[in-house]
Amino acid sequence: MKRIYFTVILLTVLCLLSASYGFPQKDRNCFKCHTLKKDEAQALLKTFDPDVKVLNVKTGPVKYLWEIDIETKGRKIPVYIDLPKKNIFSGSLISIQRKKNLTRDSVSELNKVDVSKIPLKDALVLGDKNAKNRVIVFDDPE
Amino acid sequence: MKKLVAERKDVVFYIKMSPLKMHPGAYEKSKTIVCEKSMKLLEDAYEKKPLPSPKCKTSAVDENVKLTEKLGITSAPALVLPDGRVSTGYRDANAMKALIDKK
Repeated sequence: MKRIYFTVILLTVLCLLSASYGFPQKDRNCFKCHTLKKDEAQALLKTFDPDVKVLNVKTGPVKYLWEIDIETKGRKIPVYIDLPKKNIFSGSLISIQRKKNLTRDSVSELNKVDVSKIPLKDALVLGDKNAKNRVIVFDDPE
Repeated sequence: MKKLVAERKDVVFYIKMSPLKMHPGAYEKSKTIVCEKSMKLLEDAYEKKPLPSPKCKTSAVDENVKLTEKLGITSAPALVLPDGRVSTGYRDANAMKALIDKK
């Protein structure tokens, strides 16, 4: 029993050490050792934005970053905090490999609208009106 | 959009006219297009051809402007995808396909 205890403690210490000294080992899941609670994130972010409301904290799309969904000034956006909780990152996170703006994807995911509430009577229809994928386009004629 | 619907029969676009305030002529043009519900007129407008004055009274354009403000849409074109995601800015056919298929 004691032995198991010791092993657990040793592993925890090792994981913490490797994360804080910047020697993360390949495929190690550091989110197992590090935690960030909602109210903790709220406190960290409040320093910079008194109106911030933390909606959700999750393990981010990249290693070593938490993704925190916040609501501020009527808009929902993600910001990121690193595992040691020393830095906040707010801006576009872009995946080189996938050639994709991950932050923009999160923003549209967070700010989904209810499509059934958009009237379509005035809309011009391009394609088969009964097609499975209905895309509503708001456009300017100029 | 045209290219995409030609290629993908499972996609349909519902185009709503929502003129931007920075384009002074866009409001009247939007009304003309909505009155006639004409793709041809919309294409003419894209090609910068002059459009006739609106032939009907419609509140649809004003309602669209209000709706986009409510949805936080500030630029055109804005796509509202089947699952409710909003994506703004011009996209080519492939980029639109990726958005629809969530890739």
